[in-house]
Amino acid sequence: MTYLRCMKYLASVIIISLFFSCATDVCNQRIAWPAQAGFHHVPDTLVLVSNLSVWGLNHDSLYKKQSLKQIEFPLSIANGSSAFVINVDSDFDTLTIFHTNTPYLISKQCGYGYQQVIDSVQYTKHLIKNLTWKIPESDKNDKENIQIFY
Amino acid sequence: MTKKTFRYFISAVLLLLASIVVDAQDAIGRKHFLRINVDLASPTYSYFFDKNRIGYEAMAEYSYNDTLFFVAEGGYHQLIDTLSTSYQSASNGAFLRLGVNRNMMKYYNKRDRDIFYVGARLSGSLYNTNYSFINVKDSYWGNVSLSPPPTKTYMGFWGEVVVGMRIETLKNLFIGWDIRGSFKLYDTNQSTYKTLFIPGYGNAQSSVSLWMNYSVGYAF
Repeated sequence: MTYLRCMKYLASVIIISLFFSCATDVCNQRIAWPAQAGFHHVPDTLVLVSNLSVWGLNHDSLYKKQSLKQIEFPLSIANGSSAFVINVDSDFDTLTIFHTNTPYLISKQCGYGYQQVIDSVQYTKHLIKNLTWKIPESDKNDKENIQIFY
Repeated sequence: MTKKTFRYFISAVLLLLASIVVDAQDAIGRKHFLRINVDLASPTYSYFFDKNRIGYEAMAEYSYNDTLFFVAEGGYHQLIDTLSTSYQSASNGAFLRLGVNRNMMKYYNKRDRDIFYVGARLSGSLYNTNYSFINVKDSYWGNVSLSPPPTKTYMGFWGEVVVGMRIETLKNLFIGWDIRGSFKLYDTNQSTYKTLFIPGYGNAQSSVSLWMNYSVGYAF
């Protein structure tokens, strides 16, 4: 009888061990979410901007002579402000986003990331007529944080 | 999720406590015994699969009557958790689990001490945790290194539901396994720099944890 129980024991050990071998370690999240911005003539109606170039001040191009209605500003996690240059044809504007960075653990698989909240935005007015930021949190919800009127 | 699991756990504990009364009436005069078990799963896992994980664990069971066992389990776990160049975190400490097991299997005779059991535990751990480094990648503006906090001591608490069996292979010598589903109740580390591993529980970032023990034991 003990032999039978030992066999049942071994069978159960094998089945349970197989069950425990099915773990996965995958990270599908971003470290930080860029601020979303849209171009408008009137609120809530996006317009296409042609020949648009955008880059971070003293950094590489984010967009180069493209036609776009919306763009993304990646916010710096090292500093509390991120400055960008927006260029259409011969007009240039500098846009500085001031933000608060808070580190947090995304998950064991992804490591640490940052929650970023926009505090204020400063901008020059060559191309841009006005600017509002409705949603301060830049997150995965893909909502427009900044409306640029030009 | 945690609330629902907690409700199941409380129900399991109440059922087990209720069984004390029933079991006292059903007792057939078997001798009480103490069984000491040593876990082999953690050292084996450490040796073959993950050298960064160290674990030692022992369990003591005392037979209150034919079907009910009081259980005390304790041990020491350590884990160095590294995610490439993103972070390295180490946690180590002791843990204690207290609870009961209820045998669900029929005995063949008075000397039969093989059991298939369900059990419940309330558990706690006193542990240290620290980060050697934390880096966050930012491919556009530049990477950031966070200042790792110094080593701190915390406590973690959780409940467990256990299913397992023990078979007497030689006189007084037992082999056994158990699966334990744990659910976290509270972790005193509420800071930005989270605990990744609670000794005795497992992944601190999960509200539910699953682990298995293989053990050898001796009955006195």
